[in-house]
Order: sequence, then C-alpha cells, then structure tokens
Amino acid sequence: MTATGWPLAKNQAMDTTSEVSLEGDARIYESLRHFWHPVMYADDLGDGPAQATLCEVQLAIVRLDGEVSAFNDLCPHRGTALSLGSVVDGESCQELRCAYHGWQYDDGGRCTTIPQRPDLVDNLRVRVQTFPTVERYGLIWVCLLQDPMFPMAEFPQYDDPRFQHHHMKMPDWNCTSPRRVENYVDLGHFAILHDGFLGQVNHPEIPRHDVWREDHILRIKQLEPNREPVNEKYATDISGDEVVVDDDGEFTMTDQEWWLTMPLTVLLHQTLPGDRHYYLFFHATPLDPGTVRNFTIHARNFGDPDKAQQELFSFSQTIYGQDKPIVESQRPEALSRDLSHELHLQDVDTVALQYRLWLSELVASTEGTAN
Amino acid sequence: MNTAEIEDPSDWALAKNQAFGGDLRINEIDAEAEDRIYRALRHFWHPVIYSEELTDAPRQVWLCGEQLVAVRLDGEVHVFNDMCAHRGTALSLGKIVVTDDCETLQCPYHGWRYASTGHCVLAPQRPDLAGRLRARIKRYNAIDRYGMVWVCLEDEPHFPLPEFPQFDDPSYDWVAVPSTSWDHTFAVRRTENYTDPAHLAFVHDGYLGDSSQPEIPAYEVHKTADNILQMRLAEPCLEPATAGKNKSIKTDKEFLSVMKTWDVFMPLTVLLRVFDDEGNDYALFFHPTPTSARTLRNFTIGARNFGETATIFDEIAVWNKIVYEQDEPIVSSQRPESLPEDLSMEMFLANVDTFSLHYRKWLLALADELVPK
Repeated sequence: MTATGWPLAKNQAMDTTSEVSLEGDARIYESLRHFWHPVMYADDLGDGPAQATLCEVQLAIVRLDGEVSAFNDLCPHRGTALSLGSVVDGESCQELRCAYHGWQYDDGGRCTTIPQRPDLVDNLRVRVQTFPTVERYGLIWVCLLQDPMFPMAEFPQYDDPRFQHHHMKMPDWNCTSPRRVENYVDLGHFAILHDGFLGQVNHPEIPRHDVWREDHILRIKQLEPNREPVNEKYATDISGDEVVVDDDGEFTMTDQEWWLTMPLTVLLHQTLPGDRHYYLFFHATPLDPGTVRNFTIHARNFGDPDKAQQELFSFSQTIYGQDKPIVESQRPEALSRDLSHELHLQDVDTVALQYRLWLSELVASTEGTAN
Repeated sequence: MNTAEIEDPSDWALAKNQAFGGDLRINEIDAEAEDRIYRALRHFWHPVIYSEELTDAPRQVWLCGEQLVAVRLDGEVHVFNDMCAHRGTALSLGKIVVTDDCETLQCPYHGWRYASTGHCVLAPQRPDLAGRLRARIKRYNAIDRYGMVWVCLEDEPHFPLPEFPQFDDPSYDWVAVPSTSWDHTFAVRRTENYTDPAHLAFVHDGYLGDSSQPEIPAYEVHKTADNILQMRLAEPCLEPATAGKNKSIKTDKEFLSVMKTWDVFMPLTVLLRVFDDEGNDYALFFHPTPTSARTLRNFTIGARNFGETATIFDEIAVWNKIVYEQDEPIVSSQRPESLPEDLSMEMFLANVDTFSLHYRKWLLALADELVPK
C-alpha cells in the first residue's frame, strides 16, 4: 500500500496488461502437461474411437478389450485422424484401425497390420504415441507426460453406495483453467454474485477459515458455518427447524470445506443440517490456453434420486451461468504470478494467494523436470 | 526418411509428425514449405468454373486467395480482378451490356464499363472522357477448354494446359461431375489422395476396392514428359462389377479385371484411365483448384467409350460425387494440413507409397524453382 492515496494495482495500467500476462500465462499453461486431466465422460465413448483435446493435443480415445487408451490422433503413415477409424479384432486383442489405409494399432500404439505390405509388419517399427490413461469416476483421464507429477484426485464418495452421483455436461468457458479454479474456491463472491443462491448480499463477510497444504492438496476449511439460502439442490428435502428465517429470507447454516488437488481439481464438501452431505467434484480441463472444459460430478446422501438430476443440473446451470461472464472478463487472462498485479485482502483472499503461490512453485519445479 | 525396409534398432520408430512436444509444434514445421508450394501454384493453369455455368452474366470465382470475375464477352471467356477501378466494387455483381457493338462488363455501382482488354471504355458520369480514360482492371490468362474455364495468375504459365485427348474423341461421351468445395484441405493433399491406390480397399470398400484384398498390385512410376508423372499398374486389378460406374458394362462376374494409369500433369491435374481387354475405356480428368491455402474446389470431367448417353450423368457424375464424399472427412483430417516438405515427417512404404514420394519430390523441386527460399 502506498502512502499517497488509493493504491492502484499493476493490472490497472492499461498499456501493460496484455504484455504482463503473456509470459506467466505460457509458463503456467505449459506446466499443466505434467498432471492428470479428464478429457471426456466415459459414457460418451461408444464402440468406436472418439476425438478429444488436451492442451492443444488432439487425441483419439478408444476402448480396446474394455480398457481405455489415448492415442495421438494422427496416423504416422499419412497424418490422418485415427479418431475417424474403427475398432477391429486383431490376432489376439482388439485394435484401432485407421480409416484411410487400414493400418492397425494395438493398445500400446504399436502397428500390428499393414494391409498393403503384410510382410513388413515385423521389421517396420511403426508406433503411434500413446498417453497414460485411466478411467475413474465415470471420467477418462489422460496425462500428456509419462510420469504425472501428482496422483489423481481422490473422490471416495463416488464409490460409496450411500451416495447418489450425477455427471453434468456444461458448455466450455473462454478463460484459463487456473482462473476457473480460483473462482471455484473463492469464498468472497458467494454473497455478491450468487446472492440468494449461495449467499446473501446483506452478509458479505466471509466465515473464518483455515488454509493449509496436505501432500499435494490445498485444504480449505471454514471454522464457522455460513448462511446458505434454501436452494434447489436440497429444496425438496429440507424442512422444519433446519430452516432459519429472518429479514433476509430462508437459509440454513452450512459447513464447507474444500480439497483442491493441485493444480486443477476441486472437491467441495458441504455439511447440511440432519447429517446431509453434499459433494461437488470438479476439474477445469485446459483444451487450449484460453478454453476450459468443465467436468463436474455431484454426490449427495439425501433427496429423491429421481429428482436429483433435474435439481442439481438446473441449480448448477444457474450458478455456472452467473460465474461464466465474470470469469471470462478477467484480465490479465492468466493468473498473474507477480502478486502485486492485483489487490489482495487479508483474511479474504488468503485462498487465492496460497493457490497462486503454490502454482508458481509448481511451474518452477516442472520447468526443472520438463523433458 | 523412415522407410519400410530399414530396421530401427532403438525401439519402435516414431514418425516425426507425431513429435508434438518440446519446441517441435506440428503446425510450425510445415508453415514455410506450405507457403512456398502454395505460392508456386500461381504459375500454373487451374479451372475456376465449368464452361456451361458461365452464360450471360459475370460470375465470381476464387483462385489462390484472389477474388476474380469470369465473364463471357462476345462468346470469349475473360477473367479479371473482381474489383472496379473506380470504387472497388465487385464487378461480378454487374452485368453484360453492349457498347459500340461489343459486349462489355458494366459495374453495378456507377455503371463504368470495361472491354475485354480490361480497359474502361465508358464512365457514364463523364461520357466526354470516353476513349481517353486510362482506368483499367487487371486481366488474367484465361482459356475455355475441356468444358472448363482455366486461369493462370502469372503472365507466363510454367507448363502448358494438361492434355485430355478423350474429350475431343467422338467415340467418347463426357459429363461434368458437379463441382464441390472442400473447406479444410490443401489442394496437393487432394491430388495425393486421388493417386493413392492403397486407400481404395478401405475408404471405398465395395465401391472401388475390397477390404478383404488390401494388397495393391505392382505398379511403375515414370516421368513420361516434362510435366507428367505417370503411375501405371504392372498387372490388372479387380474392381467390383456392381459399382455404379460399371453398370453399363455387361458381365456376370462379381469383379472386373481392369488396368489403370494415372497421368499427373504437375502439379495438380490427374488423368485417370481405367480400361479392360474388351475395349471399354473410362477416363476421369480431375483438378483440385486451390481457392485458398486451405480450401479447394473439385473439377472433374468423366469420359467413356461405352454405355448410353442417357445414363452417363447417373453412372459417372453421381457416382463420383459419392466417392468424393467418402474421401472428404479423411483427407480433411490430415495433419499437417499441407504435405510436409521434410519427407521424414511421414512414413513411406516401398512399393506402396512410391508414387507419393516421387510426387512430393517433384512438387518441392517446382517450389524451389518458382519460389526460391
């Protein structure tokens, strides 16, 4: 803070805004190749291959003998997209066949069949690049490097039979992935941007909370409950003395905590009255430097399962719709690594500060290990 | 180059076009080569519209990113830059009017008129200036031949027009395949696709090939003239007799035994001939015109010395449109979008991809000659 009047954050200097972001933007973006990202919902993958994109790399996703593989979407022979091909039975296993000349690849990307010259296949060591791929939580996850820096995020409630879970397909956002994640764990905007949905504008103070590191996870935990308006995600289920009413309307007291698995996965846990638990699992997959695909899964141990899809979907659609134009408008587009570029409020922007500091450290360490 | 016969002792070979990591970005690699090959195409003849589509009104056409107007004046085709010298209006929006017994092209905005030489012969606002106006529009080489209007953007075409003798032979019927635009393909990728014998069994399974017989017959590649790269099968191949294009050939066999030759008039025109020992001869004269670096328009004339005139449109024109629709998504997906200059970027199979290898080498030689580095 300067002594000479109101401080001006560096990002307000119009002429340098775009310049400032370029280098930091590129470095954070490059570092994302070291981590797991979901690239599609598993139920969108049919019998044939499908095309997906991660950090501008075009992928062919395919299920061979039940196991999912991710190939570079390019046949080494003539550069055709393998995602236009088909799954065929090879000698001992299912294989991916290119649509153009019928070259076939096994799940390791090795070419097993060259129909025009079957005699050559054993000495022609053709290979398509493949990437580490895992199917979990109904999502297909890919890492572009062979050794992911951190393990995949945990989401134990997904396999817990007491919980219903619901996948949600939402439009892509035109922003960077870290900006999207910062928005997801931003406690200060609930009362303002989501007034009447996740907070109340007359109560903008944010609950006291702790922020700390645990392995590769940034933990955030409220030390006191916050006022959450009664909303669609539990409207059909909540009643009686669980609901508080005052001049600002109906609300409940909610405890919240977050597990932010670095750098882009968030698990939100809300504890509502009556031992009701709601989990929201989220990952902001970077398709390219300025485009995010939102992978979202809800889980809850209450409510009518038949209504859950509609309740959760329509509620989230509203929330995402409120956030999208705001986050897409942020400049610089990337999170600035120089913290003086924006203004940070003590006890309010702690999460954002901690997240950015860690992200900077990750960038530095990936740059040390990048191949 | 990754060739089929050389064994890589290190592990499985990875073609360079798959290396997307580090500083090697797929789209950067080809940018320079693509640009040079693309610019070299200005030195050659390209069809821009079928003759029968150019009647009593001017038509807008595109070639190598240039917006042109094609117009027939007193029966002769002419091609100009599609921009009035006065206020930059598209002359293709104008019309043909007679001035002093000659047809002229009139701009729709202020009525300026242009003669076949490109000179402005009348500015209606100042008729007193007629004959003294120095305004003119750029005019390009244009020829009406083989049912198409051909244009060369440079004053001296590097090679003469391709030859299509069947077109003028009275024992052949011909038909124009309705032209279609492809929006994501560089024209040379399309010619490579047109001359690729190995994809027929897969992309055109049941149409031009059979997926259970993917091996391709032996063939030879020769330079047969200053501007022709020829591929010729050394032995006959089998084609489904049920194929629409073979309907007029009477046979009770499931497959026809045919010979094929491809004459590529560098850099883009293909004359494909398919013939049998009964004397049936079928010729496809094809050119993918580069409307821009990433788009093309397919022009094709089909000719045959068998069958009825009444069925040629269904059997040849409609048939080839279906075949083209099978190719389009595949060729559009190819990366890099242009043919890579560095041949090690993709894999070449001896005796399978030989033609494509020779074609690319020649293409690069032309680029080196016409667009020096």
